[in-house]
Amino acid sequence: MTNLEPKPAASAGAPRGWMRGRTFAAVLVAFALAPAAGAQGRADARFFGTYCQPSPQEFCKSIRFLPDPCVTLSGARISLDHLEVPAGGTVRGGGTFRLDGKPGALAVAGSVTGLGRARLAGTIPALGEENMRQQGSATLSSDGIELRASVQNRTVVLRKDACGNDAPVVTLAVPSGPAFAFGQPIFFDGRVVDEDTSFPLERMVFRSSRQSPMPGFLSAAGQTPGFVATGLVPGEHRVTLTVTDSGGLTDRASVRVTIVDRPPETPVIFLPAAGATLAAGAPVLLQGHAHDPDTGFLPDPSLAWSAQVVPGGPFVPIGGGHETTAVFADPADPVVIRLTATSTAGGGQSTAARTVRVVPGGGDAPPVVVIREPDRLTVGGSLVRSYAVTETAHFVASAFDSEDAIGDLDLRWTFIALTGLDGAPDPAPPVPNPDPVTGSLTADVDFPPGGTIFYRVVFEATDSAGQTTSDSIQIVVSSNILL
Amino acid sequence: MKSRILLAVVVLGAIVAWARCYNPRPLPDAVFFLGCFNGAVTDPPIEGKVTVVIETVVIEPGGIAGPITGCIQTVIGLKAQFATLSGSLDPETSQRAVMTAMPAGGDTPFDVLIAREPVGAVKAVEIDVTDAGGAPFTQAANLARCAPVVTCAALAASMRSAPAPVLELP
Repeated sequence: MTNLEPKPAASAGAPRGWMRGRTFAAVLVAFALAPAAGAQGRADARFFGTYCQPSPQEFCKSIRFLPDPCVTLSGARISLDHLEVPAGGTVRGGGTFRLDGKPGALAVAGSVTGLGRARLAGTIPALGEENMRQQGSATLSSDGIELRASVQNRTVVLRKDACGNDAPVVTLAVPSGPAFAFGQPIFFDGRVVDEDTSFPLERMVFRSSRQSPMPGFLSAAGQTPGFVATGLVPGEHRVTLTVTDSGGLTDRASVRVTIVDRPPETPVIFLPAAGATLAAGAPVLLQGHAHDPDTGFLPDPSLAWSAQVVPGGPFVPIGGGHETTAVFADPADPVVIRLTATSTAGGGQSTAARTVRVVPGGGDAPPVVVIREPDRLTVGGSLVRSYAVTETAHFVASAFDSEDAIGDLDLRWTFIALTGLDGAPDPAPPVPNPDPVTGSLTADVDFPPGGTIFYRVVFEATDSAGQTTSDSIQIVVSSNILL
Repeated sequence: MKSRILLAVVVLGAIVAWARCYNPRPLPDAVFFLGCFNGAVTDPPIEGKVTVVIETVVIEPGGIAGPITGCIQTVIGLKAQFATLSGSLDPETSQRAVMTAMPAGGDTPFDVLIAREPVGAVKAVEIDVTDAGGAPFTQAANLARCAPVVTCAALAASMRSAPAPVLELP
């Protein structure tokens, strides 16, 4: 059976003969001998789709003195599917054909042995038990369109574009853009025109030229694949949508988008207060936050604290996060405390600074206090919270002292009406200020109705040595209730 | 010269005879093998599991069921293997199918014989899978239908996401 030679496709009426079934199987299924056992396979998802024979192909046996003993293979049509497992890619499928006009069918199983290469086993039941199973190899063209199946030096060429299937036509658009802020969800709107009315998710692939895998989620229905990208890194991305139809034909479309990383807004330092006097050797609470125009309030890793204890000298790192504690070993005046905010994408920084003085500690450190609720770290601006007069305002603070227990501290909440936001205390408020609350880290206050009034809520702690530390926030209380 | 002509006639006759071997004929209906079956390796007595999915029957022109495809997953001890299957029914009976397995990763192909049970029933309730050359086990008998039903694609996907099998020590 080794003296068969392929000839060009037979023309109509060309003389031909008959051949043994084994030959047909060898030519048709066309799968070569297995490679060395143990060769590591790999996946190649291009082994997918329907491959058809572009034109009849004639195969002849070279026996010089006989009439032309040829057969004609026509109408071969094989559908393959690719399944990937950790060990590599596998192939399975089947199809139909005509041999000298007689119909037949075959089944195919295989494994991918390399990029564009597979080892296959085929079964053609009609050839009889002895000849029905054949093994061979197949190769794919680089574009995945052409499949060449071979056995014993005989090859059958099949093509995806010979099946009467039109390739899909893919378009991709971005409804807004092309520039987007870092962190902003971006919707990529794909459209497919094809005989197929739906596509499995794995056949609609979005890829970024800059980032793989492309973060986000696929949202597809029918012929409208969409992708919401949720974490594209700053820079220019060429995003490509590749769609493969059930016949294995592919089209792709691309758009360019640019992800802009703007620097954070100027951070806000809550503690220590401007011009505060700090004691050397005593713990000092630093608290602040920063807002990024693209991603919102920045997380702890994006905030860094440093201090300059010598005018013109270097800034020394002293901690990170929204809140940290520092101890200044020696007196210094002035001391500049700086909060540096870095965008989460690392593309920009902004800083805020506060000047304080550090005086010699008297051997007794002042308390450290901070108002926790309402939480000013979660809001922008100096107004922390709005209340209606119908609700009870709940306040929570924390306090710490190196020498005294919490129970030994004199704790005090006061509520001072202001002339406006960031204004001075109102000497003649429309309603009396609520009474102070003492002896507690919490306070529940029912503000009296009096229109819209801004208050400064102050929490103070005084230790046994008479040293007082305070923290404050601004709130607004309104009698005007919108139903 | 006469001997050459005689030889030519003989060879030509042989070729015609070969050609008649290729004769599509009605096959037993393979669709009753369709489905997913799994169970334990019964021979040799080792820790092993087998899942077989017969998923596709290629219909011959004319409506006769022809070759069949599917996949087989074997987990023998620590080694999990996935292979696609191609084959056909035993021409003599509708109760058996001979399948060639092509494992992922370049492992050597192997053949298995799949027999459906009970004999005479239209639809397979169980199958027996027997080594017919190179299989990693001798027999996995009485594989029951999977619950829930698994496709080859789902079986492959589960291997991509599942941790490596753990050998259960006695």
